[in-house]
Order: sequence, then C-alpha cells, then structure tokens
Amino acid sequence: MAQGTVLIVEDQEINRDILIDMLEDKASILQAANGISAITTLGQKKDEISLVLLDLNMPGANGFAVLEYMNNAGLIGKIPVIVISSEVDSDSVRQSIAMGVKDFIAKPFKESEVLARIARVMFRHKTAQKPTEA
Amino acid sequence: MDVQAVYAQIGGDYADALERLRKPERIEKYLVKFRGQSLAPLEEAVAGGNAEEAFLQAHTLKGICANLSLTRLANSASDLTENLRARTMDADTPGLLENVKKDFALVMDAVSKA
Repeated sequence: MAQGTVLIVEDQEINRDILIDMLEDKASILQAANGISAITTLGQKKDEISLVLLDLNMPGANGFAVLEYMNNAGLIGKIPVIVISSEVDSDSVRQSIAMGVKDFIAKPFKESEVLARIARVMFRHKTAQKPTEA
Repeated sequence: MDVQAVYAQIGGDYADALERLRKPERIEKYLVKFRGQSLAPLEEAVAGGNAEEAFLQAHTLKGICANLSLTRLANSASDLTENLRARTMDADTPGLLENVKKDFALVMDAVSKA
C-alpha cells in the first residue's frame, strides 16, 4: 500500500481519526464524513485513490449510495472497496458483495486486522490488474 | 490523565483498547476527544418520535464506544440500538435511553475529572 491513497468514508469523527492514525504512515489519506462528500471526492480524485474504506451506516447518502455511484461511474472494478461496519448481517454482506465490495472489517476493529485486510485486498487487486503474459 | 484508572472507573476494558489501538497515547487522545460527544441528538430524536434518527444516533454511539472499549456504555448503547433496529419505539425505549444517559454521564464525569 506504500504511496497509495486511501479514501476513508466514515461519519463519526473519532472512528475516522482512529483509522487515519492507523494508516497515515503507510498511505496518503483522503477523508469524507458522509456519502455525498465521498462521491464528490471520488469524482475529483478517482485517478489517485487506491482503496476505499467505507462505513455503511451514515446519515443522508449512506455507504450503499457510494457503492451505487461507483458502479454507475465504472469505478468499482478500478478501486477496491472494503466495508467497515458493525452491520455485518447477512443482508448487508450480500448486498455489498453484489455491489462489488472486496472485503469486510467488523467494528470494533483492531489495527492488526485493518492492516492485514487492506494488504490482502491490495495484493489481490494488483494481481488481478496485471496483464496476462502470452 | 491516568487512563487505566479512568477505564476501571467507567466499566471500560483498557487491555482491549490497547490491543485494538496499539498505543496508549492514542487511547488518551480519543478519550479527550470523546468529551465533545453529546447525547442531545439522541434524546431529541427519541423525544420527537424519530426512530430512524434515534437508531442512527444510538448506532453511532455504540460504534465509537466499542472501538474505544468503553464496554459498559457500548453495551447500553447496543441495547438501545437493537430496541430501535426496526425503526420503531416501544415501552422499553425510554428505560434503555435512561441507561445510556447514566453510563454516558459516568464516562463524561470520569474523563473530565481525570
């Protein structure tokens, strides 16, 4: 993830700060406090964002609205998304997977788990993006 | 601030918080930040019969407290969240809110005195 840019989408400031503290020496950080802000940032900086960490439950435009935008804009295959939520019930998981989410991190989260899951998703994404040699 | 003493006083789990967040200075930083939290939006939502907003507020509080291992308050916020999950209120809602208010006051009092 070194030198990548992570967009953290989380409405609660303390939880957002926790994630920033965990990641700021490993990646550049962009942050959004709601779905609308996330969609705006994705529209403006889609070429530099390497990964999205996405909360589902947010007032107004929630995480699913962000996923819907990413699907409609053709970004979901280019920028991997990890959902961070306490809503890891089967319906949320099923809907998120159907919308292209790569992994889930349940709240409350541990730094070790956050870093490990990000590394795994980024590795898989980079591997999948490599052109197949003839 | 004696963070471990504060955690003991408020029914938190300091060892769990340290395992989760890795650095003691982070825990103190977030506790100080927690002073800025308010229950007013939750109380107003319940008083106004806005179950959707009350659910979101309770759910958010639960999430913060769980990440900081403020176990007692996280549990009471969780109980209220589950009560509101169907986006309806019932006879249990006021009592569950009172439990949250009591545990929230305990945290705020301990953090502000530390």
